[in-house]
Amino acid sequence: MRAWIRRFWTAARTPSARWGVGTLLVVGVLAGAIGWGAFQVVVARTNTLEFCTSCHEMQAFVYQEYKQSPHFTNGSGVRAICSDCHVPHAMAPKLWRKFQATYNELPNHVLGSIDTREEFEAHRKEMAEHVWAKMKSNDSRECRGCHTREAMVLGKQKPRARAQHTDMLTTHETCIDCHKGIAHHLPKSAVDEKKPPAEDDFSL
Amino acid sequence: MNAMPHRFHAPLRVLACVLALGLAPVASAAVDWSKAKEREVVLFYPGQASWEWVMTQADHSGATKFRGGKNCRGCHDGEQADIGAEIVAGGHKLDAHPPAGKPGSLHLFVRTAHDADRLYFQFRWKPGPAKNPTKGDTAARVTVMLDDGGIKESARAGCWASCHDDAIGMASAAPGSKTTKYLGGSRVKLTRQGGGTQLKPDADIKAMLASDAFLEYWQARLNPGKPATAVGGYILAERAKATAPAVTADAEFSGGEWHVTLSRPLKSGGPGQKNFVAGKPYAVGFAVHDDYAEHRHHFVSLEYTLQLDGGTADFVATGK
Repeated sequence: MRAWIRRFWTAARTPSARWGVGTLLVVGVLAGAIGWGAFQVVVARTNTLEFCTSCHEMQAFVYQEYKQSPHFTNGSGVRAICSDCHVPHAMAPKLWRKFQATYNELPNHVLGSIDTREEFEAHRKEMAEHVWAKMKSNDSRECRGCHTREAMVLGKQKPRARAQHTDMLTTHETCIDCHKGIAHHLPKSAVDEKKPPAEDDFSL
Repeated sequence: MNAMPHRFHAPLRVLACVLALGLAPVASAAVDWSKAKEREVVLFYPGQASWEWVMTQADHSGATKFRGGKNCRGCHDGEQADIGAEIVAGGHKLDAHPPAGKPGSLHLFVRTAHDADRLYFQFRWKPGPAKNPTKGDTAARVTVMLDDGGIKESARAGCWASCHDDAIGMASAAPGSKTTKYLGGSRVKLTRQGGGTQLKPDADIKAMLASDAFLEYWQARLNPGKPATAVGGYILAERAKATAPAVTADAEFSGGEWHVTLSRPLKSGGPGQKNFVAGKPYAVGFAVHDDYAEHRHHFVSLEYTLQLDGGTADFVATGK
């Protein structure tokens, strides 16, 4: 192994006696451009709705719920697909997320961790909480890719929304604090279980 | 009898008229209604949403905001009809089986005014479809609940200050329970299931009554073709009728609408009645029991404010 590395290093440092500098430069630039282009194509392809829903677990469970949501169809005809919300838009965090997918989602897909409805429901809460924690930690960065406070006309909102979005400026709450379960169903335990209320004081 | 008018001299007739006007308890003719601005209040069907429900985050996602100081209207004004429609659609957590054919909301038009002696509320509304198969003895009721700052829950949540989870027909009501409206402050402790039957000592309740820590209500009970019945009272440990009845009701059903005037002297007539004076802010809430509805099967408003003779309240009752 060490000999191989030494040989490579020596070859890399030895000027070429056969190829001209111009040829090497052109070939290098071309190879770089093709490599970068191919990389971009791979990143773009793995960001499409078709790619995300090509796996059975996404197609059968997640996609069906998302199709009922206003992020899929709505009055304005703008669609937010999986990657708009779940993959960062800037290059470096996007690559990190793709890298994470290769050691998290891919192995679990191969292992068949979520093959059935029961398995999906059993993991729903844990998966949702992961996403919520992530969105909370980055101030709902992906939501804000489309929804910015600056572009919001509060006067056009219903009083409830207007009040909350005004509060947001001072309370440091973020989109996901209120807008959970908008593209997927909420975990059952979050809505159905009559948990004993955390509050035991009912006076004002 | 027929000969009677002939024996009346003209001056006597005038005198009789003046006396009749002066003695009429609901002399709303004395009020200049033209200056009273009518306001539309959308009442909605609340299902089993109690005070405790409002305060529980797991049930009501706005509970934290509410506890933090927001009023109901701060978030829900403008949504009343939508909320009601959602609840009467059926299968809702707040009422799995709402009365068949019950509309989700009712539009109540309200005006208020006062004269030298009395405060008046004038209501009109179109009844919803007659669907209730169990016709009781009252076709409709309109109620106004009033507070002068003694009950902070009422300024924040209107009638919900008195609506608890263990009252008749509510989610935590014991079978056969006759618990009516009451204030949380009258109970030793409130839990998610309401305040139960553990009342504070009598002396505490009496002190609350003496210090205006109660809600007052005026109600008109209506049946077409019959005079309205007025009911006045207060809510503290329970819904109690006034010891010195003072509320009057005038009603008429015409043009497909109920027209009702409720009034009471500005001055308190005894325990359980508020004093109405200019400048002081009052909290008001409205309810209509339409189509022979009983108990919680009513339409309710969120919280509103009232002032006499000017101010920024939702309702400003002006004098002559």
